[in-house]
Amino acid sequence: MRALGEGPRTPVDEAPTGERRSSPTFRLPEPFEAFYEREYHAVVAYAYALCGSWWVAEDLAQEAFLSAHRRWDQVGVLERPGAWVRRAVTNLAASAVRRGFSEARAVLRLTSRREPPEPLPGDAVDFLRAVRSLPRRQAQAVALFYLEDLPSAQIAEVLGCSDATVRVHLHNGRRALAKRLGVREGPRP
Amino acid sequence: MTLDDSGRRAASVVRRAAERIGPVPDPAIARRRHCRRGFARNTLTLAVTVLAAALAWQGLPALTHPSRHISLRDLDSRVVAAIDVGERGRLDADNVTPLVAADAHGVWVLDSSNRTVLAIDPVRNLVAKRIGISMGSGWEPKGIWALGGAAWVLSVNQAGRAAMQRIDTASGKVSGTYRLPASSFRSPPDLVTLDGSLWLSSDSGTLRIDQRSAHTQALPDAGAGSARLAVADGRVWAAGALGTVDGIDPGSGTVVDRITDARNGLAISDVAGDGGSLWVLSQGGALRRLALPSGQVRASLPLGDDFGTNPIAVVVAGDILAAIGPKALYIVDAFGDQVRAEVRLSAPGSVAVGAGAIWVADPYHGVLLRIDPAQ
Repeated sequence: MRALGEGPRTPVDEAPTGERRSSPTFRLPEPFEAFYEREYHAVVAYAYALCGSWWVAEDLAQEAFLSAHRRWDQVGVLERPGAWVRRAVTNLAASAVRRGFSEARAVLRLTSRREPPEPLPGDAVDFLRAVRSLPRRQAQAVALFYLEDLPSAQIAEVLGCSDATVRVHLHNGRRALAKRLGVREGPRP
Repeated sequence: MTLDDSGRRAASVVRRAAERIGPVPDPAIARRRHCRRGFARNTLTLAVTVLAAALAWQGLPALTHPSRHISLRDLDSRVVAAIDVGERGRLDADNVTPLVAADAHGVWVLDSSNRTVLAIDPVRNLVAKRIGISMGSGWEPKGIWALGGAAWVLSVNQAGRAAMQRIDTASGKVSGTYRLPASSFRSPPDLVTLDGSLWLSSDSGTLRIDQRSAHTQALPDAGAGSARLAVADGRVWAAGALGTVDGIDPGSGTVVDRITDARNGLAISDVAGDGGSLWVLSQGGALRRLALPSGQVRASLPLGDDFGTNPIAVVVAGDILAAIGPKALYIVDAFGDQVRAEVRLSAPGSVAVGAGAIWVADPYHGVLLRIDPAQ
């Protein structure tokens, strides 16, 4: 299980007498560029799972990272800044208006685009299409569950809801997916 | 294969594909793009703010007056209210007359483009209710009248079919529809009621509609050419274009009387019934009161001084007669046979008298003007 954007270890002060004394927790943010370099493709993959277009996914990811960069003094010291960025992507993808602007910008930049990625295998396309057909919150929870391999507690942190709510979304979403794809649901996560 | 197998495989494929779309974009480039976007967004926000302020400044006078588009200060002092009745500041008045109807029970305005009738509160001078009158695709409202405690709306469809809808005054709802034979209404029609029947003028004559049985009777010999109609002295009077007025017996439905205008055959613009008298408005603005059944002229009032601006429609209720033209409203004391006032208006459409006032629909500005006849 990969952890999201863990920051540097909390420093511990040593008292002159040799006793270890825990200081108030503070965290130095890692350089944004390092965080960005490490998380970029994973965030794009998550955005792609939500919107179905690589161009829009990159646009959404870049906008989310830029928002994080503007607030890096606050975001960078979070325990999981990656969760913050993924929540930003989740919100951007959910807004039809913002997505429309992203699509327009992506189209405008097509001429300067890099080569599009090769098409995905059919079963992966079917799976992602089925995910996107779910109700919004279920789709987000299921995408984070499979794409990011996150436990429900961390999914809850990204989506800004309770762990119990995420479990309900995952239960309903997986059941709907299994029915739609004609496969067995498998053991509960 | 289980769902989890499918999910893990799809996730693995997507992650590999994401890494193959290319190197991570230079964050500096992305920041510059964001700055440009932010600048554009701020510029757009500033432009929208300036535009909104300009519009608000321009529209500020409308906030202090009942009407969005017309100021009472610019109107005659007898105009006591201007009620917004049209969307986007106008009423669709193409080939629709009359637009306003009134009686002792209420005031109604026909908004033909939106297929609604607006019930006006004559106490608070505002739109109290919007009543849908749509009869479906292809049907167009042609006019509204207030008769017998109800409002009546005539609609015509492209195939020439016609229908009258009755709007109950008390409930403000459409309480009945009379389907009529195919009729042509190239000229604005007119409607009166007498002895339990509606009398509707059309291009081919007068149509009688029995309100109880809904039976219709065509009277081609009476008032052909969408004549103007009036009720006086127990008869329906249909004024034709040739300066003649036919008196129809309501029992038999036949023309039993005819009054000929001796004034060089001038066409009659409109007629209005007033108990035992018939007011006749001729082309050129001559308004005369004829005593019935003799037809003798008891009063003659020239209205207007310009052939192009003379009044063309007249209504009477009680002691108030109102004649409307393209530039002015004339208020006449119907008992004293005297012109009481001339009220200059910019774009009057149609006039009605009822609920203690004179009502003029101004389709150009989308307002209903209330005029106090007592001032």
